[in-house]
Amino acid sequence: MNHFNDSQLNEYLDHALPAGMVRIMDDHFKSCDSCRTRLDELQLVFNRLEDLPEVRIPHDLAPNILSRLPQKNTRLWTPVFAAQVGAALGIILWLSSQTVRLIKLPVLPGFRFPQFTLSEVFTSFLTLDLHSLTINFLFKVPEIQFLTGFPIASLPYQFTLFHIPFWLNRLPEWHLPFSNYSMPVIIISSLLLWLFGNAILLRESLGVKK
Amino acid sequence: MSSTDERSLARRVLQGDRDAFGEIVHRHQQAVFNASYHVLGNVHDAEDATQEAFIRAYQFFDKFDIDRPLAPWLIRIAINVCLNRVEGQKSASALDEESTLLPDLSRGPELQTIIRDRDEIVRYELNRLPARYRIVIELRHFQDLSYEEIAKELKRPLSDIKSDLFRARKLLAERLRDLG
Repeated sequence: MNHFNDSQLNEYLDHALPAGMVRIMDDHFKSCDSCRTRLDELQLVFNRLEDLPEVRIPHDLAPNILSRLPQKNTRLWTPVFAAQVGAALGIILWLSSQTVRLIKLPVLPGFRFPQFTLSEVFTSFLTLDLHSLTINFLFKVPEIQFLTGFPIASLPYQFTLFHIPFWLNRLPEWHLPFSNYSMPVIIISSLLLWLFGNAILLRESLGVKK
Repeated sequence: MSSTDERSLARRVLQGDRDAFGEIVHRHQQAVFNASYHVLGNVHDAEDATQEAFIRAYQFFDKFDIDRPLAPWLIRIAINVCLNRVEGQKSASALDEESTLLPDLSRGPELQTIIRDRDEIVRYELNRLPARYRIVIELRHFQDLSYEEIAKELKRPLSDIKSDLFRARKLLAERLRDLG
């Protein structure tokens, strides 16, 4: 009868053999003293290692470890932060383009927000066209457009800073117009980005993982 | 310790709570020290490796999956620290060398009179093995990893792992038999 080699004996004790092979070996050990002796010798090593008591740690290492802990490096460019910056840049680019005018969103009743893109604002800054900047952007947020059916809607009034006291006394009736202006897009996009960012930060701070 | 406690501690560490990490050190330092001792073979080096392992664990704590138990993760880090130490301490062949600091017990009857305890003899012979053998013994016998898991952990071929493990056991068996 062939004897088993060292690898087979090791794998037998490590329970790494298929059940069929284990049965064959069990039968063999009953009749082969040589293999049985080698197996017992190996088993003794297993037993000795298993019985080995723990080496007690000489002293508490915690104080020394804690004193040597480095400050946590907070990585600036985490994937989440990079995604947020990318999204913000994307929104800015989008708002700077003419395509933003194509979006139709509901705006506050009775109000018409100014029609301009960020690129137009930047252009005004870059060309130092202060007159255009002041008249077209700063003092036109928001511009009121009275709607059909409003008692005094026949006149296209502008809502400028100078007109605040005047218009406070003449608040328009509520209507539900739909229009295509960049300001609501900016507000809603910023709100969504802020909510999304905070949800992720909250999730990370709680250590929630997939 | 329940897994909920451990998860809660891990969450606190992720939020930057160093005291929570101190609690983790208290709970696991014994196990990490033992693993380091088995691989390095002396108390002083094992202490250093344990400390280094915990510091590394803290630095890379955001890589830890809090749904898994901490101890195996910490011990794996410790074993890697030990491995780097053994490789870095001496020559490139340090992993294969037997400890020259520990004489052969069978050739020194006076030593046998000092080391009478059976466990001490086993530990002594274990420490005399080359480091690469001690590492596989640690991972198989004390951490209960399968051959495949050890190969993955050490990034070595499965055949090498089996070969090292079987040789280590054979050496130990021969030495323990010689000593009676």
